[in-house]
Amino acid sequence: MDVLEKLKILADAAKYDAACTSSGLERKGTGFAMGSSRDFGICHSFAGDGRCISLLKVLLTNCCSFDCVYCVNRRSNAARRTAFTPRELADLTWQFYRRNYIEGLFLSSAVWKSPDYTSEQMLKALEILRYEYQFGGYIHVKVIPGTSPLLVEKLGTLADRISVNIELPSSGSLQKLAPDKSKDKILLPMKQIQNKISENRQGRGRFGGIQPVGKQKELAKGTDANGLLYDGSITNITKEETDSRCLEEATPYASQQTDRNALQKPWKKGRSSFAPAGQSTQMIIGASPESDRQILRLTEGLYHQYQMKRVFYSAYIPVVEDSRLPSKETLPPLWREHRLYQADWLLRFYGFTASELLDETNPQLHPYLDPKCHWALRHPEGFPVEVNRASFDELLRVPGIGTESAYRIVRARKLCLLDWDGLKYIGVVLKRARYFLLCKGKPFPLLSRSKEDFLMAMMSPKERALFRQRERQWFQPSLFDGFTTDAPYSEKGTASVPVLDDRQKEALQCVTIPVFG
Amino acid sequence: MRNDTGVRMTDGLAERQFAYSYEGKELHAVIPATTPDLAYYYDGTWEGWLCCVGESYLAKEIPGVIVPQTEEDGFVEENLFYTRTIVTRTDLARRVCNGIVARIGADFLQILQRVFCSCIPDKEAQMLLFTHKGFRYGKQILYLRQDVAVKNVLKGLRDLGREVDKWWGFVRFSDVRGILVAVIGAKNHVLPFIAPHFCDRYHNETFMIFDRNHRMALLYRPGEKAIVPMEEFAIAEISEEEQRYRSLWKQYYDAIEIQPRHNETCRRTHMPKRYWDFLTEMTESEDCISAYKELK
Ligand code: SF4
Repeated sequence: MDVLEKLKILADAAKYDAACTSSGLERKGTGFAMGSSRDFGICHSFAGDGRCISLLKVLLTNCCSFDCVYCVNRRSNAARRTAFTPRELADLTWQFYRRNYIEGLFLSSAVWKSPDYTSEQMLKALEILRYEYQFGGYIHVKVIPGTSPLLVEKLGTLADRISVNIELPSSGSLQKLAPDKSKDKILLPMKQIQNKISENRQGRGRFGGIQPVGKQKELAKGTDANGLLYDGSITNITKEETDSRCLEEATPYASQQTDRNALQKPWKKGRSSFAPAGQSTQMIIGASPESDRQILRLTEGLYHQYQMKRVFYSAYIPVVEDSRLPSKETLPPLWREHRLYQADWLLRFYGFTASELLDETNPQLHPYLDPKCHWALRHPEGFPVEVNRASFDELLRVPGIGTESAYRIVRARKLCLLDWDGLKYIGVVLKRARYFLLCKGKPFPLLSRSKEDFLMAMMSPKERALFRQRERQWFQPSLFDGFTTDAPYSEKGTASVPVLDDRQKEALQCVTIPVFG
Repeated sequence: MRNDTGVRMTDGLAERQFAYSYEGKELHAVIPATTPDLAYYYDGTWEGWLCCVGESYLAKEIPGVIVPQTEEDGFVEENLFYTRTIVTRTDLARRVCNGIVARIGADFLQILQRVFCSCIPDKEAQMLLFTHKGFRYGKQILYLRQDVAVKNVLKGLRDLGREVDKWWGFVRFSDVRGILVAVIGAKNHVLPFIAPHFCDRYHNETFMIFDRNHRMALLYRPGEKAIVPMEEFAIAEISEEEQRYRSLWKQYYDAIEIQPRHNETCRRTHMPKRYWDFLTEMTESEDCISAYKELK
């Protein structure tokens, strides 16, 4: 098959992958034949769906011996199969890069013959790029669950970012939907990568991970193990264990290594870094019944215990019909994906914990209110806060105040007390925040506290549109009597949720709360 | 926090206090009033512009417009203006340059240099006014955002920065007998700012980026780079190999879209239409792929 055909098939099969960023790593081009990396990331084009194209995102092959129900490439699906040779892939990357089409390569793959066989093919492609061509661009590689640790290590030294997909938010779903994968097979390489990365950073005297070590430990202790993925066993694999497994499994592969070693030269002198742009992972949202609460706790666990750089969510787009999956007519839960990213943001930059955002009585993120707003409405006791006295962390928790605004406030008030005009002047957007703040002890002047105004102020234009749409439907329930579906989220609300759901009622109820201030 | 000017900003509060003293109207005591019907001609170079600043400073006058043209070229509305031709003198330019660095700061000069490459309307006169105010108030002038000249200058700076960001990604090289060539059409004069990135990334290649709008080209070969004027340039022949990679890229671009989620608005905001002419994936038609297949 021609490379053109292959590219068509293998890019098409890779397009649902969410993580396509090239940011987080600054590397000069000198020292390589070609290529550099910029830490802000560069978008080279935008696809028709508006997503940024930064990396050449392809599968090495779509021949798969696994049978994950949700995937088009599963072995029981009839599809055209093909594979790149490592050389073809390396040439393609090189030539695209040379023409400034891309920022680097994002290589993932289906499982061809066995995880190790496929990984060796991927490794070959990377070796050609790094050793033979001396390619300095960005490379992100996906590790297949079940790959032997030695191969993972080799991939990690050549790639800039390495990731293992966690696929589904619980081991139960994993068993049901991806029978060939298992929690161990996923967590083992993850742990190994984490150890390697931190080893490497310690070696270079640098501080690694996203949080100060002390804080990580504290948070990890605080997290309720039951809520974590795979029944709390996330920490079960110790470093010693990984290492010993490394040794056990290393032997067969290492024996073939001698001749290849002769070819290798370090693609950068003294290079010892392992995945300098860190580790990330991705899970599918909406293919299995887990609640947002479970997903967020899992996310939190991944950040704290595996020091992930990012956790990506990908809304499940039904591509196959199967009784174990939502029907093919289900719209992808894009709105839910969006909410999860917002919550993820709160976890990473705003000092929230998963259990604060969602608890047993509140297992789902609110469809009409963003997670921070929803949290604030459930905790009226914490508000209003005095702008001039609140700590930075307290300010961060006020809806409508982001890190930038909080920072500005903290610096500005060092010089003199801030009043409402002053806040406006330094560029704090008050649309939401004014309901939760006091300036010099005074609430925002002439603030309408009617239910409607308040609720509307809490919602973004999109959320408002969604809310109104539902409201209208509520008044003509007869039209939709036949439908009952428990999917409160969907992009085009028309297909689901005929009646005013609990969440909407709750949104209306919330309105009574903030008459404080 | 660093803002887009690259200068460390203090808080809004400082801005505010400064603004109040501005409202107190001391400004015109020192900075001469603009003479709307006075026009300066200069040769369009950076040194030339510095000389305009020097001359206007010495003569205590602020021209209404500054035109990058010499008198011989003719100026359309000639009789509406008193004109003065500013001759570019290296020594004066250097003096002004040193003066700015000494009295306002090196980063201020850097801002001026960047804005000089931007495409805001009437940039020379706006920058001149901005510089005068800079001399009067020092670097603080940057916080005086409600001032028209300051606002315009900062806008120019931002515009330029944004466009530079875009071109980092949107330049498309073609391989012509081993040399990489690209044509772009930038609103601002971005070449000096995208040059370091490309020279670093492709440091072993020989390449050229031609800016169709400014008729300038960035030339690079290992160890050497230059930005030179160039009248016209077009890629004469596209080799088979080049066509092959173009088709492959187009193919990739089409395959990566999730069609049910097509979103034209989003694509246009991130990649405005004016760039499309220069993007291989947007200009190559579907036929190129089938043509390529037949060739095979
Ligand atoms: S392993 Fe599973 S998810 Fe991956 S390609 Fe094969 S079937 Fe699809």
